[in-house]
Amino acid sequence: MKQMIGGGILFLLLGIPFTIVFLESMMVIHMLVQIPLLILAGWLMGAGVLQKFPRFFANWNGNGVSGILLVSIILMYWMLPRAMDEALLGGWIELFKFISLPVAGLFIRDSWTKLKTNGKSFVFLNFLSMFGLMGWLYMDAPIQLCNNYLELEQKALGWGFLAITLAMILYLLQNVFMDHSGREHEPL
Amino acid sequence: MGANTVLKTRNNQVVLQLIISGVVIVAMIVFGVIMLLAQGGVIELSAAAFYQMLTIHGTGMIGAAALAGSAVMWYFLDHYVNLSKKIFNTNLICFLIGVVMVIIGVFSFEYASGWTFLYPLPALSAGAWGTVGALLYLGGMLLIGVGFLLLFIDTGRAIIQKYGSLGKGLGWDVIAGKKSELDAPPAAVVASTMVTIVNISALTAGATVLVMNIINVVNPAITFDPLLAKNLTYAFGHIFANSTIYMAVVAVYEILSRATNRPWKSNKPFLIAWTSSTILTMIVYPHHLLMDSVMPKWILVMGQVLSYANGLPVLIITAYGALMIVYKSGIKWEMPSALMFLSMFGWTSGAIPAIVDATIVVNHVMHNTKWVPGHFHLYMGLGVVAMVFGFMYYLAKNDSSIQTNGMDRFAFVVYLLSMLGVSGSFLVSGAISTPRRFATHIPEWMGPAQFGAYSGILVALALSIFIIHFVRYLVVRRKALPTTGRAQQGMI
Amino acid sequence: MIQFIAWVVSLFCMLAIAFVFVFVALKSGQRENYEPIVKKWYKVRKVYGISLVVLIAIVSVYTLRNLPYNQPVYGKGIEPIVVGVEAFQFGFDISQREFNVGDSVEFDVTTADVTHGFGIYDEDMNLIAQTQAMPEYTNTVYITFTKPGTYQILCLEYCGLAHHIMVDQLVVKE
Repeated sequence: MKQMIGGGILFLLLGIPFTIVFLESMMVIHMLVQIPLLILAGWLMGAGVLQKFPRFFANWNGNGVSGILLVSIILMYWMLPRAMDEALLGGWIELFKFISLPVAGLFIRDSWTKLKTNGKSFVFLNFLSMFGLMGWLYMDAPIQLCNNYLELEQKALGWGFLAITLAMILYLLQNVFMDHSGREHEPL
Repeated sequence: MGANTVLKTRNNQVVLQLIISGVVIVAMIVFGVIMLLAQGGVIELSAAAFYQMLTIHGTGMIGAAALAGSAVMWYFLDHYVNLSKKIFNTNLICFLIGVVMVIIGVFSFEYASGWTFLYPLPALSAGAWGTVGALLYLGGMLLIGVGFLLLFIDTGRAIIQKYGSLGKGLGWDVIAGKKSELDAPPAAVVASTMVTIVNISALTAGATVLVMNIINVVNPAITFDPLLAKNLTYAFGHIFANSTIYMAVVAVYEILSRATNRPWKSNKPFLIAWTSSTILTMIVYPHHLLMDSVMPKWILVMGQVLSYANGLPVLIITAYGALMIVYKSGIKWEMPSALMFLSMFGWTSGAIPAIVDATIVVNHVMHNTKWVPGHFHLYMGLGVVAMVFGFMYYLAKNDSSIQTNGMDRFAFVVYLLSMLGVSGSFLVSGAISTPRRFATHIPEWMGPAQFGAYSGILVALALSIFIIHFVRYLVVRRKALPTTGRAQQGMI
Repeated sequence: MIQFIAWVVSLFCMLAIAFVFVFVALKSGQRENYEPIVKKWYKVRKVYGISLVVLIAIVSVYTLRNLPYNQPVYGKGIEPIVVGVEAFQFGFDISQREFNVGDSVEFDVTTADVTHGFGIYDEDMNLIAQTQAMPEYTNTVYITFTKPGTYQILCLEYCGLAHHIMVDQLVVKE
């Protein structure tokens, strides 16, 4: 319950026009702060939603695969430079952002516990290579990908993605080489 | 009886993957022969057809080697850890759909970038192929990669579950002296751990570069750093192609030690060799970029030295171990053991031209000549292929009572000599500076190409005889299984 | 010349390996206890392994002294002729195609579209130098022409359907 309230407050804070303008003023903050925070808000609020409608989630997302698929589609959409641009124009796309990303957070919460090791690893490795690619794309693109952000900001975002990729690689390495014997739970 | 039935049902997909790979390999040899005949001036072939065949030949051979190699590895690893059959299945399904996409892309939409799809060639074909062909090919490759990624995630998960970590799967605790050599993980586990590590790395790099190419094909305005693309492409291609031999070599350990009745244990030198191979396999790929003076010089110098070093584990440990285990063992040679022994010769001798070409001064005048295909036709053709067919004979012998006959032994000799002929013709071509991947040759270069083509026909013949033996086994196997087993079996 | 050495060295090594395999195969009919064999041949392996490592070190040092990337031996006060090369599907733009015997030339190679190769063949169609033509990058290859004649330029990286007819010529005069 605490989590749900926390999530709700976070969501409301993110929805204040001033915060929106501030967080969207820079590309790297837009992509790597606002968007993850929206997902986090959804994840937190998800605690209550999942409790309220356990049957629905058991029926539609029994093994977690359909949920994570939805998450991937939503996140893939928001990784596109075009999507950020259109969100800046306000209106429906912005609204869609404020709905789709919390929904993604909700389904991450639901799916991640249901997915087995293989599924989690697969999702993790796919995001790893896609974040790497995004880093490369934003750092290297000779053209301005967004109308509203300059190339320099694009480069900063690229470095941000690269940093995330490296962190993921380090996490992966320590995970697979750390000793898991004698433990109940499965790795990753 | 009950246990036996279970084991046989478990092998269904292994058997299926082997027969698919065997048939694909022979089909690809046919394309190879046609290309060599065209280069030798014996037949006329349009440039478009030649380069489409080139693309299919490379993709198909690597794919077949990986499919067969993973079947061998899965078969033995499954004895030691708890693998998911569902994932094994998923990989095959992804593979088959991917292959269909690749074939349609190449032959229906005339896509011909070579199997290396070197950026930005997929998008810039000078009018030879369009977006659809490129997307089908790249998408097919991506799907094949997804399947294999799932497979290696599963092997990694199973190894970690049983042994604690990938480090322990490589026997690091034994190397460190914390555990005795007697408790070291078996060879199949060590090799599988190595393959898991290198291939997950390769496939992640491969996915990045494939999606990058796809983005570039869809919107050519978005470009990427070609040097980074090249690095990633060759990191992926080199590691993935190389890993096939490390998957298949598991069969050598198991089969030779059974045939000679001698143990092939994982001791410290063995484990150190495999850990070295793990690291070296991932970092030697810069020997594909030795001509790019824009690369940092130290990387290229390392590329040479590490490529030399990469020969050491097999020359000092693996091949040496194979020789030792056979030496004065009183072994009764049969098709499986003979092919395994031959495969170690193919591997070691095939590594020599690669090591020579990794020398920067040599690379300067021999890379991108037919010297390089000379290396990998020997290495894969007499290494991986021998392991795969040896394993097929082993399965047939193990699971059924069918006997090999004179034909099989005849095919063995033909295979050995003709494969040497193919590889030798490529090496000679390379020594006289014949460029690789040329649709036509000047008259001076035609002789070796013709010789290679005729040798290739004999290779196809010999491998067909191998396949016939395997099909005989499949027929016997089908009859021997109880009805319930057959119902579960599906295709076979 | 290099090709010949490479060929002989490779052939020698491969024949040596073949010899060992045949020897072991011929001896495989006899039967002896494994333990003494292991003991004896582990000792041999030590010597063999160390010699291989030493050999690799020596060959590395020897072959890495003169790399084709460095401006080579003719450095002493001689400025090379700088030639720009731009490859394209399917041909080469070369800023200078005629040279004199003894000229040291630096080819700065790049490409307008996909990756190409830039391989220089002498009159006997021996490959004497090559580099890659990369988009956005310029690779450099140095060469000193010691013999007169017509040199062929071939594309050595697959670049599309006309790859094999992507040729050009350089002329070196006395």
